[in-house]
Amino acid sequence: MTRIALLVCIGLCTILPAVAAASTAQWVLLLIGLGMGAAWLVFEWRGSGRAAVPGMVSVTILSAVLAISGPAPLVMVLVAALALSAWDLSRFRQRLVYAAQDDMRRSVERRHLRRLLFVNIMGFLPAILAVSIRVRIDFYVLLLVGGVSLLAIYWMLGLVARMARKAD
Amino acid sequence: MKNHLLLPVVLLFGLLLLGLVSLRGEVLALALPLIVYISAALWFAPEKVDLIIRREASSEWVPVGTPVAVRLTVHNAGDMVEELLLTDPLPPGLELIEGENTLLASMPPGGELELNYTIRAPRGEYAVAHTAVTAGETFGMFWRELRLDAPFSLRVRPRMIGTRSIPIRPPQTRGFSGPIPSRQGGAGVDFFSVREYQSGDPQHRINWRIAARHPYELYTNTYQVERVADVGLILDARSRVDVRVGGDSLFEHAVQATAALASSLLGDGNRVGLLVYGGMIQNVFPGYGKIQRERILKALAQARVGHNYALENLGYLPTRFFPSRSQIVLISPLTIDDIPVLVQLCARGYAVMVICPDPLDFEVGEYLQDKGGFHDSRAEYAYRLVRAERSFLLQQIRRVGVQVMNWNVDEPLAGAVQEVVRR
Repeated sequence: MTRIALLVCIGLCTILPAVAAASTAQWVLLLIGLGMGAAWLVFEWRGSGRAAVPGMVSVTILSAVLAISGPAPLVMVLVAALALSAWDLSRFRQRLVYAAQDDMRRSVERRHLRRLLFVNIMGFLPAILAVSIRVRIDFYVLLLVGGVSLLAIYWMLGLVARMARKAD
Repeated sequence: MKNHLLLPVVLLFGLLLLGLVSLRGEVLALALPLIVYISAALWFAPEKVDLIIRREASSEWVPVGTPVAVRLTVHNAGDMVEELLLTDPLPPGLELIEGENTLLASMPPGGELELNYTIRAPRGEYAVAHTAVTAGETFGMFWRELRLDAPFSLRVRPRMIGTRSIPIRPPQTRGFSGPIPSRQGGAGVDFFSVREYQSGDPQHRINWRIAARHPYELYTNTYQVERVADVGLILDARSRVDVRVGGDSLFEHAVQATAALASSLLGDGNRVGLLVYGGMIQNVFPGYGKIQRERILKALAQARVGHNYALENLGYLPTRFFPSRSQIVLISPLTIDDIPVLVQLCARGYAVMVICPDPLDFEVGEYLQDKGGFHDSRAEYAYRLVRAERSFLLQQIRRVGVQVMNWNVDEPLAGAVQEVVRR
């Protein structure tokens, strides 16, 4: 189940940017997208999770570039969400090897896929709003948003450090 | 944990930064799935991971080749753990023959999980102190790695092979009755000598035939007293005398022979000690009975082939460890350098018996099995030459009064012992 979901996610996040790039005649982006997607797909097909990190990073960057220059930014949000899901499923599949008993495996798998679907929907819905609503922000508000972002970065890094210390 | 969280966080802030710099809301929107993903992981991360682990093993002291069933029970006394990865590390050498030693499952509060597996191990001592547990939410972002104490030690002793009583004749015996003729007159079964009659001697012991020749004197038969003896077993664990063919080692056969000899000699009531001479000197002081047998088996379970420049030849054998004029049984394939040491031991009054696991037959046996015979005449000549050299070595040792038993390890030890006895 996880494998199928993973391959579908990689396939979609390869095809969708390619179609978007082709529609705007950005052939270089099309080739990069197809190449990276195909490589990621091959690696995952063989059961190796090595391509997950470069695959996710490249698809996210590609979706950002196409969101700026392409005609369908909402599709690019979907592509970013699919890349995130593919990366998550690739890691999950590596962990799933340890689930020896079938009933435990099924239960863990079902829980994970349900949660991932829910999180993707919850991430995609506000993105629809964000793309469809256009707000003009002046420079000072932008500075405020920048400041809040910096604080959030600071808080997030602190959290990561605390979690790491706890784990040690 | 750090690495898994790092990538989405870096991508998230990269997208936010790009969105702010480019003033494009679409790019900012790309960050939303990431924000929701990290927030969900953080929300479901377990606050308190409190796991109680218990381990049960079918046995901790087993003979070689016996499967040991291990059951690990984990009880969750804390919050819900969506994903629990339990890894029970196996020390090198242990073979997993059934079940799995890792487990991935979810654990509700108060829930219990069981990990069952069966292992098999070669001779030796093995210990596991901790079990590695990784507990976290289902996305694997916020995980906690724990090491839970579940100590377990497994000692694998050599398998005991039944051997008949080994006839030894040390110059000196101990005070208790046993099976060994003590070269002293007294109460026994075998005739020993005749002495003058002393009042109180039972009538049936009077030697009437001699008395008939001496009309005014009586003579009494004395019988050889049978007693127990001190026996020192020396196991040669020097790496230079060990031979390895494939995965098999000659030393393993020597260990098995030592265990069989110890069991047989202790069974006869003798006081037996053990000295393992190799990388280091390991000893078990002489003692009697079943407890001593366990002590010797424990020492044999730990015995390893080793190299030590100071102990390269048997010249540094701590002979004071064995009572003077006792029986010494050396279990060693022997080398030419060992002859003077054996001579010295005999000169000091020890009765020495050498059990030689034959390295030549051990090595050639495998070769012959593979090739089905000597197809190359040079190989055959080489074999005959080495065989002659070895026969000469053993002959030299026999000449100084040492009982030598050349043991082909493919044959049972009991048969080889009887061969020596017949000689």
